[in-house]
Amino acid sequence: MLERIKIIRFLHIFNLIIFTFLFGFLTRAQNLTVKGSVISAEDGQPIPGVNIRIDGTEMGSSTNFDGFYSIEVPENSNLIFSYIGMQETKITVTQSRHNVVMEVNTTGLDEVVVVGYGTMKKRELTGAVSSVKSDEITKTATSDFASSIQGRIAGVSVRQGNSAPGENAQITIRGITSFQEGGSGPLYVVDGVTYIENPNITPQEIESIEVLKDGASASIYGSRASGGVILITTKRGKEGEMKVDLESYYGLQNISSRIPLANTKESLYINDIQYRYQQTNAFDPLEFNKDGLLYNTDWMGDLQVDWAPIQNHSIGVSGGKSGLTYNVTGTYFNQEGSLYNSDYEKFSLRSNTYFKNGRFSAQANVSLNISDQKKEPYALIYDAIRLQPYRKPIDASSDSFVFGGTSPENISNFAGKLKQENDTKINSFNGNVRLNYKVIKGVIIAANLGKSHYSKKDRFFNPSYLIYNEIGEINNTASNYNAQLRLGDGINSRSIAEFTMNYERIFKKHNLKVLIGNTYEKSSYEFYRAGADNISSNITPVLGNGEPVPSSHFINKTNSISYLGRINYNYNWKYILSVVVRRDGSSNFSANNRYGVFPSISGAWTISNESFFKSLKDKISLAKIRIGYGTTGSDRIPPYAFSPVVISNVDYPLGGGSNLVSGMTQPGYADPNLKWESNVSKNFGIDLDFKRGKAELNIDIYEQDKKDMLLAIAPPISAGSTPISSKNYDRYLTNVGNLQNKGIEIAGHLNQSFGDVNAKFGATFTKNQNTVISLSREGEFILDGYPNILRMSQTEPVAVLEAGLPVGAFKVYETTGTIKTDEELTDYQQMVPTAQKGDLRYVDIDGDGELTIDDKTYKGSYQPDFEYGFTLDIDYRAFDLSVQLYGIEGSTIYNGAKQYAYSMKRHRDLVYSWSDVNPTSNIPTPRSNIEHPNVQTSTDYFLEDGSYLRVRNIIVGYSLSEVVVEKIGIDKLRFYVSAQNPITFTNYTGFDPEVGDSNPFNGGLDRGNYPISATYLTGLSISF
Amino acid sequence: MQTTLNKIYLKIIIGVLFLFSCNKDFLDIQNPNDLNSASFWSSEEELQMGLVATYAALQLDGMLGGSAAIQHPVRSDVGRPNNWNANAIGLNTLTLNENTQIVTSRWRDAYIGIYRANQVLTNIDDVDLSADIRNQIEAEAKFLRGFFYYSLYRGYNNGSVIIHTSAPEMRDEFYKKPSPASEVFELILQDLEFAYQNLPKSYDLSEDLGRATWGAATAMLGKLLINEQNYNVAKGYFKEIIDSNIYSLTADIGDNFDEEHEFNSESIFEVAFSIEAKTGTSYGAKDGTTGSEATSRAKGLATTQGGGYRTVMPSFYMTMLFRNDIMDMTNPINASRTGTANYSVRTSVSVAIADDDNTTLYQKTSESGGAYNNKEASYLKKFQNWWLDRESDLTVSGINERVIRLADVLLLYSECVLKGGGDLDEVIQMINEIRNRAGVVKLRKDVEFQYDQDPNNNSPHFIDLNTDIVHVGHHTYINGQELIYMSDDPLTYCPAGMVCDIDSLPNNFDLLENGESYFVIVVDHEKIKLAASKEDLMNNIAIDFSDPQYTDSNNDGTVDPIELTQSEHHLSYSSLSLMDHIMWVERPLELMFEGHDIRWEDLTRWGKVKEQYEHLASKKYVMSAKVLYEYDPTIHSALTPIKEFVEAANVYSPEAHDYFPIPSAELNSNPDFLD
Repeated sequence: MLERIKIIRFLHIFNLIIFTFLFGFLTRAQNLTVKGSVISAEDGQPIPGVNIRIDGTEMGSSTNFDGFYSIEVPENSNLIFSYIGMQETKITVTQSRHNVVMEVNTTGLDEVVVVGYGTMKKRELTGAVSSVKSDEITKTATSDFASSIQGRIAGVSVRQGNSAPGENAQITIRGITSFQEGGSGPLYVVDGVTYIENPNITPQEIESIEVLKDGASASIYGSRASGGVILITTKRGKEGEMKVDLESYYGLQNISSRIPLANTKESLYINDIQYRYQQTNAFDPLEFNKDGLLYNTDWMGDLQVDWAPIQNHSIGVSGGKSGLTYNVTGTYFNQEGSLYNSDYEKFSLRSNTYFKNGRFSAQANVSLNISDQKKEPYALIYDAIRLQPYRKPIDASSDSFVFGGTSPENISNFAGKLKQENDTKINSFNGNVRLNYKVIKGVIIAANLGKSHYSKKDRFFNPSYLIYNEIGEINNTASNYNAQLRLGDGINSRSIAEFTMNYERIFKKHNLKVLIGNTYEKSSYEFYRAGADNISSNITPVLGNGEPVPSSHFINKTNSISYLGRINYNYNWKYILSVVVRRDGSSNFSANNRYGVFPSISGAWTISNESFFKSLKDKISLAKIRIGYGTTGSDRIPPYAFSPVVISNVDYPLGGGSNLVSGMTQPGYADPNLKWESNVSKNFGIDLDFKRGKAELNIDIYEQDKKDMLLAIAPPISAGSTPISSKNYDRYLTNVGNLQNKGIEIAGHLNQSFGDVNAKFGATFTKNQNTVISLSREGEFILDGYPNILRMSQTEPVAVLEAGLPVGAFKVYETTGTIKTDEELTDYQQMVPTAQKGDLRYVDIDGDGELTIDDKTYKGSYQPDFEYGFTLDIDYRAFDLSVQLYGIEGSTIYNGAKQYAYSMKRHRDLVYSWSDVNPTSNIPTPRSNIEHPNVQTSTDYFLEDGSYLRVRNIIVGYSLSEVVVEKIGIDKLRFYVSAQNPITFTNYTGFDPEVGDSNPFNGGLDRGNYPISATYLTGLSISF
Repeated sequence: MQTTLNKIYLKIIIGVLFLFSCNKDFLDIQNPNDLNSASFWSSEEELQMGLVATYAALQLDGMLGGSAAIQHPVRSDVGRPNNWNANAIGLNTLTLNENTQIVTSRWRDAYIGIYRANQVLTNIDDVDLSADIRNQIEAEAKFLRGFFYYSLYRGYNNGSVIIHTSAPEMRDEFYKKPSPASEVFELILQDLEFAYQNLPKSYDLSEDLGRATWGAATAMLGKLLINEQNYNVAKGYFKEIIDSNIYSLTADIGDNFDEEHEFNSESIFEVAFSIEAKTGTSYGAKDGTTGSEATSRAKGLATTQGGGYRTVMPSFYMTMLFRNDIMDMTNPINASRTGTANYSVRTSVSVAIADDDNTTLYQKTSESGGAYNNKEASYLKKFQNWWLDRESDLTVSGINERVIRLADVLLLYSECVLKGGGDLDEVIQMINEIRNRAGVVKLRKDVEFQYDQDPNNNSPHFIDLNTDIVHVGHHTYINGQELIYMSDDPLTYCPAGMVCDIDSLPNNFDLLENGESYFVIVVDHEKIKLAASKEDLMNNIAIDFSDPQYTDSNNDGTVDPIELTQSEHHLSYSSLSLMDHIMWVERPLELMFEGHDIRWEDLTRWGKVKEQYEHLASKKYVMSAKVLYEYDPTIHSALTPIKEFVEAANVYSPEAHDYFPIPSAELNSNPDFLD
């Protein structure tokens, strides 16, 4: 109710503002006739048919065949000249004659694109590089720029597996490129400084994002670039008057997806079915919840926050003069989560300054981020699934609870959980200074010195609380006497020093650019955790008020050195060649395997610059083919992995009592031959541009062969390695196999005007085929990927690495419905003697009469057949409309939440499960044993089609006419309303078909993650 | 000039570019977190630390840490699960499979121990040691390795498991197929033999308390062999322990279950836990900086009042056994025991029963220290901290897990004697040592007693004519006929208060030798009939012990019924009936929930699993006023009888269930296993 009032109030204010702006300042001025000619800047020729419009009105005119125009306008109004292929030009009428020169639209050709260690014009490119600009990035309301580029770039796949506030989406470029957790992520380069993980740049700070997709482009980043490179350029100021941009939005979010759970009546019926065939330990929930029939608690609903607000406010100040420019952007983002007790708040400030004086130029970028993420209690969705509806709802604000019944522990542990505080505070500082010095003509030496410091503090507080039964007796099991506090601090510190020299020379039609350089990087991650138990009071949760518990501490350090060189040569912009070589050394490998060399060569032929193409040039303004061969690598592994260690703290109390003797042991294995993962990538691309940017089409075909893929694999448990939480001792890193990605990506857009309606239509299509080519031990398969985050040790992994299959392919038992008759049962009992009617029937694939691991079979993969995105942007006078769609097709998802709901007997399906009164059902009968084959994870029963088409975004905006806004002294004012993720078309029965994980084995697992919300927002942007 | 300048510039540029590149150490980073294994294992001290780590593996959850001790008993007849612990229910109903938690953790944790032992054994050759020290370290490591393999051998795949006798280093050494059971047996035998020959009988220094001793190795050898039905050799090992005079039964049986009396005179091998040594922050974990030295068992088994989860409780069968563990009031141990329900000392320290007035539970009366609702008939007290107000708020307890103690050895030795047709007196004497310490009536080779119907009390009594102890007789119903029996053994197969089907009686009942039956059947409270066989019962024929010569006066081929009225009789034991006593009375009462799955080893060794499951599945019980009774339709007609082990009895087969399946975690990570 409160939320609804908020919305109404907000809309009310909103209307008031619009009304004031629309009608408060409208006045009419005197008229004046303006004449002039319009010519093209490229060739000085007049342009016929240029559309001329008086800003803020529907009145207009156009140029005649000779490029002349005449129009009657009010004084001090603005004229807007537009023509396909030319940049829109605006003049303020100051006199009766205005001659206008229109610049050629450079979107296709001379647009400057950031590449590694420099920039290039788009026409110089030989590789597959895509670009997204700031206005597209900020269309999505998010704190994470990754989710804002979903569906906008062909070949770049963005999955938001966890929609908790403050969580970042996973980006993979051209398919899964690594077997490792987080290994498929691209390298991020922010203003020249590299980041292995998402640098969490606030979207409002970004000017453009460039993506280096192919190996030839990416190989300048060598060992880091195996997953592609995302180059982020932050906003810089322009010389001129100070400009201020204000952006604000406010919205409300709602979880729209659900998993069908049984209500009280249905639960009791499921319970009845469960015990109908069991004689011992039968359990009647009403026996222990005597008032159970009074309740029908919707736990999932109770744990969700309806209409949780989200808001963002940013202010940018930019300008500059006399060689000094600046841009300062400050952003405040606040998102309340749609799940209980989760929210995220982020403040960021970025300052970019640039100074140029003669041969010397310098740039300093500084960014600060302060964020606070409050997390919902661990595995909350699982609780919402597990808890029975006949339980009384909880008021979590109390310090003591009364629970009746005889087994109140479950529910009361949950009550305690709701009181837990779990938050993460991140303070990060990123800064770099870039110095350029022009030594002689054509030679620039540069140094780029960067430092980033990232501190992540997490805090967990589990307060004490008391649980009583209905007659006032304390329940010692369920009560928590021990208020616990845990503090963790992880500090990630990186320094980078790059020294480069650029040489550029143009003689006649030969264009040559040479880059050489070297880089040094040091990174360290230091983590420590401290805690206290038995904190004296819930209201004094600091360490000193409790008894200290053992602390933990570790330091991970990695250093690397690189030498790089690049030659770009082109002849008359027709024949373009690029050669890159990079040699990287990483401390993550032993001295023998430390260095890797990553060469690449690529070329392009601009056919449209050939003389024979001239006749077509009117229609096809650019035709270019690109071909490239490049190598990249990956050293993305934890440090020290190549040598086995011995650990302490494996102690034993010899000598009786509390006497402790220290023990040490080697907890696991290490592969001394650990070496670089390498990636050979081939790319063939075509770029077509029609009618100077009216339409554009880019097609790329690629093949990437990855060798010696790194993965920390678990040796057989009989090898005896020791699992220790947060340590990877029970896995060892090794080069496990080879992988291939082949694919095609198509991106196109089309601009079309229908009178006053300007439409821009864009589409991307990505098809990637991912195949494990071989594994280092023949016939080997590596299983991993547990569909639930709880009970992992009792469930089976469902994803596999196996030659011939895609990464993370599902390999599970095939099932064919339930055992329905006595004959079927007798038959099946030959194989599974304990089977009963109503049990799932597993298929003995190899026909040997036994169910063994050999009967597990390939049942699809989460990697889709293809994914696609559509964007539509329409301007109609003061209105703009933007629609974005995104979809994937042919992906298989494991519905882990459903599996959990089945094993907890909470899924509504179970009402219709096999029983004597429902003898044709293929839904397996619920059984008490939680590892029962009916609910075991490793079957195809819980696999579902994960294809979907989602309306990502619908935005309707209205810009006040400049005539109006100038009256109030501003340059631009736009309002918009937007619906984000309002509709998803899918057959998936779980929460949301958009699942993803940085671990490739978990990529297709719906593990009860934080569900995605539909967000409805309204915002405004003002410039002055 | 310009060219020269250019050259200078170039030199500067190159100089700048490669300014730092000569720093060769830049890529050499020392691991600050852990020592490198390659430089470890160079001294005796380091080998000792490796050995301590091997002992530490004994504490793991799947070995003798919490889970194993909690979960294992529900598979046998001594434990029952609570209503919601799905893991325990899975074991109890034998629907366990290759994903069941304990199936995975026992396998994993045994191999962790083996890997650690192998590290010591592999690296010992590289260290310069005196022969004595070397033998000592090697013997301890081999004892532990043998111990871990014993758990795997007894636990999995008919004893056919993967053998690692050295610490694998390269990838290809991990992936192994299981070896034949005979090879696994041979390895265990050799390891334990080495330990047996080289370990000391005791340690001089108190700081070595808890290390494996000669006694531990000898007992393990005995256990290994008795489970192979090699009674003769096993007997020799057990005898050595008994004759060594190192060990003696503690005066108080409770000393074997608490924290105060760890490593007592009875203890042969225990796994040490401590709550003070290292509290830890990750409760389940035992290793690592945040690990603890404690076991999670106590919290898992405690009542709600004790702050626990009562995941597993004593079975109804076990509860009834404890309720019928009859006290010997002449024993001074019982001098102070009063109250309405007189339970033995052994009962009071092993389990909590609501009407036990002679003990406390979490500083409350036994009745209010537990809920006893929800069909919960009794709770575990053995190895619980029941004298505290509640279990630790963390999931930890410091009570050592007694793996082998003298009482176990005495009973195993007795079993060997009986199987070898040895001296019954020796067996009875050993059993009575245990029973005496437990404060319960001793077995007597010859018991003279008198039947007496107390006119004021409905209970029939038997008066022991030697001691004047009055034994309460027990009702039972066989084929609808009320029978009353007296025995120092409750009639296990048909305990008091229950209606039994004659078919549920053990077959070996038939095999009882003439004149040596100890079943006393009383009909219509006036006449005593003694039965020797199932057939006797079916024919309602009683045999008089006082006259071992049967008569068949009417020459009809069956012996004459002899009616006796309140007369004197005496009973005596056969090796079979003594074995029955050990199987169904003494071992469960004395050793329930101890060691590593002791009861399952026992039942499978005897081949009695199916028989026992079926027997127990036929039983009906009721809970009335928090106390468990055998269901008696004449008394309990208003109550719904409850049962246990029905599913297990239906599905059990030795091939499928005597051993755990290979955990899927192994099959999933070891592609070579099935090849």
